[in-house]
Amino acid sequence: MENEIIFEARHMHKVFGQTIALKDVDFTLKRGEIRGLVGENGSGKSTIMSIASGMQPETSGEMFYKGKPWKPDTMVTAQGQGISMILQEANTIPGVTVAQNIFAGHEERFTKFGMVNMKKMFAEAQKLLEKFGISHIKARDSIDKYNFENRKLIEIVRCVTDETEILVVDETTTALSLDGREILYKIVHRMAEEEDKAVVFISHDMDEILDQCNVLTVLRDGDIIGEISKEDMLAAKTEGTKRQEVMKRARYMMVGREIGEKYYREDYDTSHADAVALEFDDVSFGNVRGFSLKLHEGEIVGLGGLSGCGMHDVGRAAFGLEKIRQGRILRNGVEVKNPMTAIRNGIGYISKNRDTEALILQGSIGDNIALPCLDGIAKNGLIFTKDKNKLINGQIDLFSIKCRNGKQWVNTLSGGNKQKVSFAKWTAKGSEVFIMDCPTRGVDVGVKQSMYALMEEMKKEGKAILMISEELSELIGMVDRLIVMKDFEVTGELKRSQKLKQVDVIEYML
Amino acid sequence: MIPKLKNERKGTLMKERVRGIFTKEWLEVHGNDVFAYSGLVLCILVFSILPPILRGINILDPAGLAFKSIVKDGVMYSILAAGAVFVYSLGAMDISVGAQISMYAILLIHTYNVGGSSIGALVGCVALIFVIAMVCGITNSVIANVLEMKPIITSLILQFLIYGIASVVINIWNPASIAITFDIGTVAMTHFAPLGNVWVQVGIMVGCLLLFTVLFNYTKIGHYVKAIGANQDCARQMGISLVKYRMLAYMIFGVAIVVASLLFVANTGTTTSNGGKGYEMKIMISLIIGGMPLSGGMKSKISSAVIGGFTYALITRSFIYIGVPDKYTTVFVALIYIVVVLLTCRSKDKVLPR
Repeated sequence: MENEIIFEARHMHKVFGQTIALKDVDFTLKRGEIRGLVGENGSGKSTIMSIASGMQPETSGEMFYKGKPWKPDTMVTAQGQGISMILQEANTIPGVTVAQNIFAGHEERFTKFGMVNMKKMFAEAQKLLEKFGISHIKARDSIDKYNFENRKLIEIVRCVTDETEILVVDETTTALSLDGREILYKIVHRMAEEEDKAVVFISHDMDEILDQCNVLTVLRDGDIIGEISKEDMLAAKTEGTKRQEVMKRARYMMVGREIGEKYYREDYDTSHADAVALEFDDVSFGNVRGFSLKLHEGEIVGLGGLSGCGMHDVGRAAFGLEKIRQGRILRNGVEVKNPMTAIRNGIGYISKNRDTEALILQGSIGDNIALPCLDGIAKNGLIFTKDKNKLINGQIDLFSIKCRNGKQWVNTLSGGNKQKVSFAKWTAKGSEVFIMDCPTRGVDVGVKQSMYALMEEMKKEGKAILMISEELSELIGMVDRLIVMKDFEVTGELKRSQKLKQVDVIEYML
Repeated sequence: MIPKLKNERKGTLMKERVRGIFTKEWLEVHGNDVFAYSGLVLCILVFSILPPILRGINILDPAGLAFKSIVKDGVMYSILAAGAVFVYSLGAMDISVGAQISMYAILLIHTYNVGGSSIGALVGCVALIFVIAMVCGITNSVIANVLEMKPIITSLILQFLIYGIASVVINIWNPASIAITFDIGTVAMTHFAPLGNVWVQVGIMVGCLLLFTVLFNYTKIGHYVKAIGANQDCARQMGISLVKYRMLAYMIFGVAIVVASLLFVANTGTTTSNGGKGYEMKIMISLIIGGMPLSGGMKSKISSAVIGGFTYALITRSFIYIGVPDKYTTVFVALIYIVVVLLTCRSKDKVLPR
């Protein structure tokens, strides 16, 4: 059975308005493969698999699944036939129970004479949750009780059934903790190696791709550029030099140019101004107690830990989004009580929930950039289009946002370009303190590189950055000082150093 | 030959220019507008042809009663709908409009009569209803914010409350209905009379629309209410005060209701405890016909109010002029409403709230 082609797409073409997302692509997936799909944002890697899993139709081209023509009309149809996709963004139904989410669209399994046997559904769902090793989630609970990470785990349980022949994992791991990732990796390897099924793994994390996948396809601008063979992938798992070589080759194919050696900061200079840009003075809020921190001008402070350790809450509090019980958060002697005081005092916040909090998706790039800056461009209370456009176009140029013009809607942009817009609104505002919560989540290697360069530039300009991230490598690579949190408390503080390794940080995290 | 070639070249250039303007991208952004403007043009064409054939009435004759009644209705709907755009942009609704118009009409007429039909009485009364309208607006938005209720619920409560008060008040002052008292021979002398002139009303509408357009397109208010309607979590993180701008939106709508109440009294000279009943639905239909997404957000615009307001006025009035009995007009309007809803709710921009 191994090497048998399970899915094939021929001359796949997909157009969104004026954008060509896929250009006559031929794609093949064999049994036993864990095929990595990598490419820059907007390269078409999610598009091709979303067509295969019934999320959207192709513009032209044909697909074959298990040797027969394949044209699913919905994701439920595709899942029923064995192709499931775990999406990057939240895909659970709010306001109902965990069990109802797991069995959404399959209620007939528990229905007799038009009545759903909820007791049976809860029992079945709980059994499934335990089988996947996530017994801390209860089937009877409302899904609203659980955070993004847990909801992703619930989605995994919903997507992976005994009938699943092809599993598509679309940038899911960025939302998961180490434990969550381990659960997913086990499922992926079991499916491909023990059950002779196939997995398509879409990710921006090259280390993860090299560790988990056995073959790799690289896309650029809607086209398949090349492939890294099973032999090379196997060698990359064991040999350090081969790994570097494979990684370099994949990145070259993705971007179409040499990325260069410079990725993170290369200096180890942790100097900064004496002036304090933002101060947490024994602050307690939510589950966080007695948190203190002085962030200086020209300093990048990192906050690391496992998801749910309280670091994201600290970022929200710094922007006035949390109710403070005790202590004060000060910016230039002014207490930050809400987003309005924060913005007025030069603080900008890039939320990790890009699509739900950081951006108005159903709005133009221009509106998103200009909205926080209207006070600055208004003349006698009036906002003129000319001034607004000048501001918007300046930021589009500065960040090289790939778009037709400032009127293009944000929901039509790729993940990386969306993230550029959420950065741009605060640079346009002229913020001096940046709270960046997972700033490179879901963005490709090229965009990441330019964002790191921007942060370095900001540091040189004397701006203060509080960088919150679940990626240890970027924290170690970028920050002057790394604060590690566990269970809502600070467990360690590490200085920037050439000797600092991930294991040193993990020690404080676990 | 040379002039012919020149003309051909000119024609090709023109075609290219037109193609350059009407791109797919342009249609994506302005599709609803094209639909709304085409609807209005179609209505004007149909109703300028049918009534003269069927009933001998020319609705385009500025001196005719038909023209005046259509324009007066269009003015009322446009002013109210333009004010409502601020509230609808938030993704909210206010269904207390009809009740407010009823109450303000009673107050205007009664105070004007009691005050000896003087200009001072009129000014005083306008000031009074202005204050009440602001209080209603603030109440609607603040209660919805504090209690985290859907604004439509607070406006429903307000609707019942105001209708109740109007009923009590009118029964005390003058059972069943109330009218401006004047000697029939001196009708022109009442201070409401100039407001009844169709061209004065058009002038008032233009003034209101200019004010609302400036507020909506060229100040923070318009930008912020659209942002709140599109994504309130994001709007909050952009430093927008949800309470303040919701309140301002309802207060601006309040201004529109006050102006519309004045025109209502000028047109009718009389009212009952529920004289303004149904205006909330008329506004909603006008906005939908005008291409406004009732779910609010960044695609909201003032032009929807004008286009929709006049289209709706033209349809409802013209049915009478083509001989459809008054009692069936509502049925025809309902049919048109259903067609528009079916067309718009199928569009990918989700014109209707979910």
